[in-house]
Amino acid sequence: MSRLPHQSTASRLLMPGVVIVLIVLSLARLSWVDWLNSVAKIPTAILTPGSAVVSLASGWVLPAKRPVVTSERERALVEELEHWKTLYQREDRNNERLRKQIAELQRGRLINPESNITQLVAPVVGMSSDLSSGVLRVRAGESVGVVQGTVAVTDGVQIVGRVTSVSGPTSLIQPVTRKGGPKVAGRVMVDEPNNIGLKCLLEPIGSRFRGVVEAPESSLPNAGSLKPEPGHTVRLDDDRWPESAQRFVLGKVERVEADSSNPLRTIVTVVPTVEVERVSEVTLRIASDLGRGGTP
Amino acid sequence: MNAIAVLVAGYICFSLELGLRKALAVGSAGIAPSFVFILCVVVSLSAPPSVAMWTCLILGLLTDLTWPHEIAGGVSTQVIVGPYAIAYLVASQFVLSIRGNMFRRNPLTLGFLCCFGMAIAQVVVVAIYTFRSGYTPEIAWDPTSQLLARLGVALYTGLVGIIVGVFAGPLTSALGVHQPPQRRFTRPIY
Repeated sequence: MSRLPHQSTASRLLMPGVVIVLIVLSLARLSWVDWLNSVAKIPTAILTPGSAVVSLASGWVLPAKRPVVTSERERALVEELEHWKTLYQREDRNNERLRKQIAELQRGRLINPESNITQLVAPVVGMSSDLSSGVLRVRAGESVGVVQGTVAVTDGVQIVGRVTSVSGPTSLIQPVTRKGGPKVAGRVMVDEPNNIGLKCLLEPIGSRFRGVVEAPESSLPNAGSLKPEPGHTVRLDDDRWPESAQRFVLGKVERVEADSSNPLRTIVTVVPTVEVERVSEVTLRIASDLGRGGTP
Repeated sequence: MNAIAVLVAGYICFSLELGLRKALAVGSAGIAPSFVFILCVVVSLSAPPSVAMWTCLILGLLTDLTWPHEIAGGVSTQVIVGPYAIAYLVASQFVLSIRGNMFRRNPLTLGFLCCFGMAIAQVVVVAIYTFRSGYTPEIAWDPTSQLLARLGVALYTGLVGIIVGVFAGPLTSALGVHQPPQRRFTRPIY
C-alpha cells in the first residue's frame, strides 16, 4: 500500500488493522461469529432486488431443461399422469399410516393429527456466488410463514430441497442434489401400478444421486424379477423428512450398475426430472408437521 | 474516483453475479464467472493504490456477507466474513504490482489479470477454509475439488474479462478512476 506524505499515523494503521480483524473473523469459531448472520441481512436485503431482476430475465432467456415432449397435449398428459400417480402414492401411504395409527391408538399411544399444508409459489432470486455454497435464495420469508425445514418442490411433485435458513423476506434452500448434503432414503418404484418399490439410500453427488438399492423382500411375488431399470421413478421415503413430502419424486433412474462387493445389491444413478439447482421458481409446502417427522 | 459510479457499478456487478450464476454455470460444480472481481481488477488497474485496495476490500467483504455457507450437512447456514475480503485484497495487490508492465488498452490485459488475479484470490480462499476445516467439522470441505473448480472459475472470469476489456476504456472513464501519467526513465510525462 502506498503511503502518501500527508497520511496520518491513524490512516496508515487503518488498513493493517482491518486486515488483522478480518483474519481473526475468518478463522474464528462459528459460535463466536453467529452475530454476523444478522449483519448479513442488510446487504442481502439491498442486493436481492437487483439479482432478482437479473435472475428472472435470465430464467426467461435460458429456462431449466426439461424432458423433450413432442406436443402440448403430450406435456399435459405427462403432467396429469404424474399428478395422479403422486395422488395415488400419497393416498396409499396415508392408508398405511392410518393403519399404523389405529394400531398405535389401540395401544393407547398419542398420534399427531393430520398435517395442514399451505402451498406458496416463490421465485428464485439468486444463487450463491461461492462454489462451496450451493443454496438457492427464494423471495418468501418469515412474513408468509416459511420456517426452517419447509420442503420446496417444482412441477408439483419434484423435490427441490429444504429451507435451511429464513431471514426476513427471503429464505435459503439447500438443493436436495447438492454434493455433500445428507443422504436421502427413497424407493425405486419397480412396479408402480402395484405400488411395489425397492428401498434405496441415495447420496447427492451434484445434480444427481447415487446409491445402493436393496434386494426385494423374498415375500413379494416375483421377487426375482423385480429389478431397477433406467426410467423407473424414485420417490422419497425418508422419516427424516416431513410427512407431507413423502412419496414425492426424487427423480428417475438414469443408470443401473452391479455392486461388485455385494451381488444382491444394485447401484443406481438417479437424475431429477428437472435441474433442481437451476429452477426459476419453487413451490414451498409449509407444513405443520415439521416438528415430528421433519427435523430439518 | 467517482464513488457513486463505483457504487452503482458494484450493485450492477453483484446483481449480475448472483442473478446470472445459474444461467452461466458450467458443469456439475457450477463454475461461473465473477463480475464483482472483474470490477475489482478494473479499479485496481487504474485507481490509486490505496483507493484500489480499499475498494477491493469492501467488495470482498460484501461478497462474504452476501452468501452464507451450509454447515452441518446443510441443516443451517453461517456467514463467514474475511476470506473473500482478504483474497480480493491480495489479488488487488497482485494487479497493482504488475500493472506498470501492462498494456492497459489491450482487452487481453484485463482478461489475463482477471484470470490470474482470480486464481490467486481463490487460492487464498481455499487456504483459509482448508485451515479452518481442521477445527470446524461442521463445514464440509474438500480442498482438492474446491481448488480445481475455483481455478475453473478463474479461467471463466478471465474469458469474461476479455469481453469486458473491450469496454474497459469507457468503463474506466465512467468510474472516474485515475489514469496515472505515462512514465519515461521513472519520470512522469505530462
